[in-house]
Amino acid sequence: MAAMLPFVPAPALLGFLILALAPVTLSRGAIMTIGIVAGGLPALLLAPVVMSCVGGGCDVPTIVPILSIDVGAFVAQIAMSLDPLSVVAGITVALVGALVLIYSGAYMAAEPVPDLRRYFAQMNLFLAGMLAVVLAADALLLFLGWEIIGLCSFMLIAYYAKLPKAIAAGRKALVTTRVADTFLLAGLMLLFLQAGTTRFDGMLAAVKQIDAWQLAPIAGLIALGALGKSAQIPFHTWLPSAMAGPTPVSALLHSATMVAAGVILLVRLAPLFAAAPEISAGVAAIGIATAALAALAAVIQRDVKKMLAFSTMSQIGFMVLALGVGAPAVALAHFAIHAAFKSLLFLSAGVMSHAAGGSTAIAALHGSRDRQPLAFWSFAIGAASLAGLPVVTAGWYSKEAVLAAALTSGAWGAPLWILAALAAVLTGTYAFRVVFIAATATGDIAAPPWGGLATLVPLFALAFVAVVGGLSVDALIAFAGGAPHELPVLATLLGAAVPILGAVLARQLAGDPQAFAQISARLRHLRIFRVDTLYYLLLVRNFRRITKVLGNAEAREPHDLRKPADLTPIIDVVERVSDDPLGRVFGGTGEKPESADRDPDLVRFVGGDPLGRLLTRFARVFVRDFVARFYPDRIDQAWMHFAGTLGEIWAGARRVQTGRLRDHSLGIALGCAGLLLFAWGTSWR
Amino acid sequence: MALIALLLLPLVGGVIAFVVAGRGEAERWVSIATFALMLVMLFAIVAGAPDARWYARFEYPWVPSFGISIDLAIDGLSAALVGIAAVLGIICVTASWQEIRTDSGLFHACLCWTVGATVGVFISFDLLIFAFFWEAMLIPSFTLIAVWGHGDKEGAALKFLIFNAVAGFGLLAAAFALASMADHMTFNAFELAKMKLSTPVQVWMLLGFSLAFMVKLSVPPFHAWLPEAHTLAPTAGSILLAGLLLKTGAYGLFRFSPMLFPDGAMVVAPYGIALGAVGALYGGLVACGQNDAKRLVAYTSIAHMCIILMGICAGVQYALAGAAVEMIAHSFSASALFLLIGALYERTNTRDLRELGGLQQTAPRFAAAFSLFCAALLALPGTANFAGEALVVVGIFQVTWIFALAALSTLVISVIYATRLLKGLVFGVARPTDGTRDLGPREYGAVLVLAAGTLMVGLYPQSLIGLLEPAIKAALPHLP
Repeated sequence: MAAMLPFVPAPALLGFLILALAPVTLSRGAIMTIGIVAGGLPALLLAPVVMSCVGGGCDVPTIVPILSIDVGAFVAQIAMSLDPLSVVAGITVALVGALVLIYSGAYMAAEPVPDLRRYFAQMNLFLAGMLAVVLAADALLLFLGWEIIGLCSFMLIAYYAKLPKAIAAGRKALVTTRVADTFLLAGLMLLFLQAGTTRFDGMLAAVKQIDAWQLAPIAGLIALGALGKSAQIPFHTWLPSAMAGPTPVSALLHSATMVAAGVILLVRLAPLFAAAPEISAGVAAIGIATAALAALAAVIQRDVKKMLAFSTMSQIGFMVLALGVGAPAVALAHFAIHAAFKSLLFLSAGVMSHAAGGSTAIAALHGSRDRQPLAFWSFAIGAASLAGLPVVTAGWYSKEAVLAAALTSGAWGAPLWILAALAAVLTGTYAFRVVFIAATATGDIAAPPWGGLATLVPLFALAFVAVVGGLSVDALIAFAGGAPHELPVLATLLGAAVPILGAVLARQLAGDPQAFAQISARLRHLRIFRVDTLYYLLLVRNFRRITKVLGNAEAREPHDLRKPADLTPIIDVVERVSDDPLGRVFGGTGEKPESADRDPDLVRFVGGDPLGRLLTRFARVFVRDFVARFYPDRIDQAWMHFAGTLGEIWAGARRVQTGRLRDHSLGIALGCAGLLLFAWGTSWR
Repeated sequence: MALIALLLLPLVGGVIAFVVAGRGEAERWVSIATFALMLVMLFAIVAGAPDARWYARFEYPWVPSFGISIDLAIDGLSAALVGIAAVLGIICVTASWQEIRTDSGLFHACLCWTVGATVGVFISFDLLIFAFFWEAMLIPSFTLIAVWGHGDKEGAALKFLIFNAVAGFGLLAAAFALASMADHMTFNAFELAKMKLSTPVQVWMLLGFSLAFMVKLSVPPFHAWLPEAHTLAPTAGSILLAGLLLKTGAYGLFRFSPMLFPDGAMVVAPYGIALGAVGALYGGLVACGQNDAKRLVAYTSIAHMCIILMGICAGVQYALAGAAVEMIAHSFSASALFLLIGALYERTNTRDLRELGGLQQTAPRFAAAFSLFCAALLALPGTANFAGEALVVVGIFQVTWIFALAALSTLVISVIYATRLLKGLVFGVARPTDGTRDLGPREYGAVLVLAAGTLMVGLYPQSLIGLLEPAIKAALPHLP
């Protein structure tokens, strides 16, 4: 059965190639058929493999080599692995992918044909890349898929290419994840140099031989890479912006699969992290911080997609927490369940907001229960599963497993459990707030969801998993090699009470918009939500400035060779930089208070942040005093100046060439005299 | 003899193209036939090669009293670069099919001669002959820029010529000094390699050689000629500059510095890595700020050449393999981007990223091609560029981790400039007046050839590394 594995992503890749490259015009129907069939086949191909595994067929991992690369001493192998992780993650990805593509058939039906073709091509490529990530048994294939999903994510977020906002969001996602990917690449390279192989089994076997002081940086770099892809603090800012893409894209990429790639990688490399306990502790800390803070942020969102984005961050924070406390099997189980209910939430929210005139504001969902009962109830099921209503929803089982793993993890178990439980209360609050708002009666007439079967099939299938999937959680954890964590009764009871408490809070908030407005206004002042702005002020703006100064973005015509370059723009740039609005806040030299300052609010808040202030100041000084000296390729100008000097010398020397006969004859005579003198002088020896 | 024929073919082809010009498209077909014939001959040489260090060798004592000989040899590295030269020649002809309508005969002659001279550089092992071809390739490429360029083309061409010719004297002077140091005066590199020179002498000689190589590689601060020459040249000129001429610098460094100056190279290498790291960051940062698409790509070339420099200087197997792969990879990706931007300029008469946009609505094939090569530009795994850069970085990690991190951080910068290119060309709103035609079959064919090369090397680097292996082994520092 394992030999089937390399063919699983093939249909999706083929679909991409046909849609992207075939030099023929395809009709709307043909595009959809190709896109959906190519997206659905991997699930069908994987199904028999999974069946063969259920009976214990893949307790021992089977490696399927695909390709070997040989550079002298270095042999790299591209291979796929059949083991519990690849099976669970693979079938989750393939199923959710197939369902989201079916849904896309309805959601994207009205798009222009070329855009539709682009959309399905990129979605298919994404699916192939994600399957490569989860099935990979070696670092090369994993990184190949890893970067492909990153690029597809950029393309799909920027799908509405006429909106500058969408393109900016796409670039933000790509650049942020690329920063993290660079850490990952560095970590994988170091691990490879230590282990001498790119295969994960070889790498993990070599972990024991690596010194602890070398292992910690390697594990740290890999963890940073994984956390960046999974939008954990402090890399999280790209995820809420990524909601600029179409809803199915958000459902597939930014909830169920791509952001979960980091979790998959950490599960795959779990033995590495078990050997580096301090890194694991850091991972757990980042996980719980993201879980709690993102849940808090989700409570005050006004846009349902943004709310779901923060919720994804928070839920992945739970998975990362489980990984940090050494329970990869639990993280994998929560990944599978989360994929189901989160894509259900996105898809049903898409239907509801479509009926609400396309607005994704939570306020616009008022009365959705009357307008779109089916979508509303599936959203409610998804929300219940997200909140983890006890016993009846799948989310409860997997979240309980995470909480149990945290509680039994040693000395820090109790505080971690408390924080996680608090995050779970908030989860219940934000999930049910939307449900209660959507349930308010407005007297609208019920209507069937648009798109018919294409929307109903995914909704029903996912809702089914979100409810019944809970029964399989224990089996899933055992299958993935985890042991059940024994819990005190009190903890179990409290864990069960937590989502209900959240729902009660939600009831209060939904019923009292003014209280909600007050709370959200207060929360917005907390610094945690402003990392994004901080990045903008510290990194993006200064980067732009540096490149502008270095590259002279106000492109002038290339230098004229004949005259020395004009130096006034340098002074200009320095002037502009010293007008830096931040300079005023920090007691700098800025004399123009209003004119240059376009974003006083942002400035004021960074002004209260001592670390940010220091960094900003440093960046400002750096730009003004150092980078500005590099103005548009100063090296080039030095050369041009040199050429100009030569030209002047030449102009001086040219005066000798008068063209008059007598001057030339004088020259000839002097030359002859010199030669004679030379001959006379040498004849003496 | 095959090597002499390989060398003479483009020169003769150029003359024929010049003579037959004006009869329909004769000069274009003659050039294509020349390059195609070169490819066939190359395949014949490689396929019939003995299992030895050199596939073919030609030696003839030309002026024995001064130790000047004609010594041509070809191995995997030379063969790969000669192959690229021929392929790029064909692509240049297709790229300028519409663009070049005046003095077309001379244009194609210059094209053939540039390719011929670079082939001479890639297979000559007599330093005087090497230096001759080194200078000879400047003249036809100077003509290409000065006659058929855009804007201040004479200025750009002059700058290009002055920088490279002056730097070439370093090579020539060092070659003469080296030749005179031998027991019997000789310019033959294989003979000179046997000489035992003291380390300081080696360092000085290497610096003379490096001057020429660095300027040709356009490592900052010697890069000033490149952006203008690339930007203002006609499309074919840009393709030849980026795809071939820059590679001669990398090739010279790769081949001759470990061969002739093994001890000197060890001394200079750390400075080379540092220079490369600074240059890669500098080139990348400057590229991010450009609004002219062609100029942006030109600055990315600087960044990539610096990565090649780092790889060569690191002197370990991975890094050398990476540098060699990156040479080929950059030839594909930069040529393709110049070809596409040239084609776009033909249609819209602008290269300003702020004015262009919306290609994915108006010209989907254009957009797909741009997307693919921007992916190569940002070193997406699966493209040849990633194979090259990743190998270089792995190699540098073995030597020094701090510069490896610098090389890695260029990956982040590359995302920024690549997406800027995508944002300015592919995404966004198409200009209302635009009737941008999609890629024609000729252009699409050329792009597909380059795409196939990029993906083949990227997905199965073994295909290339196997060919390059002996040259890489020879470039490894010989430890005592």
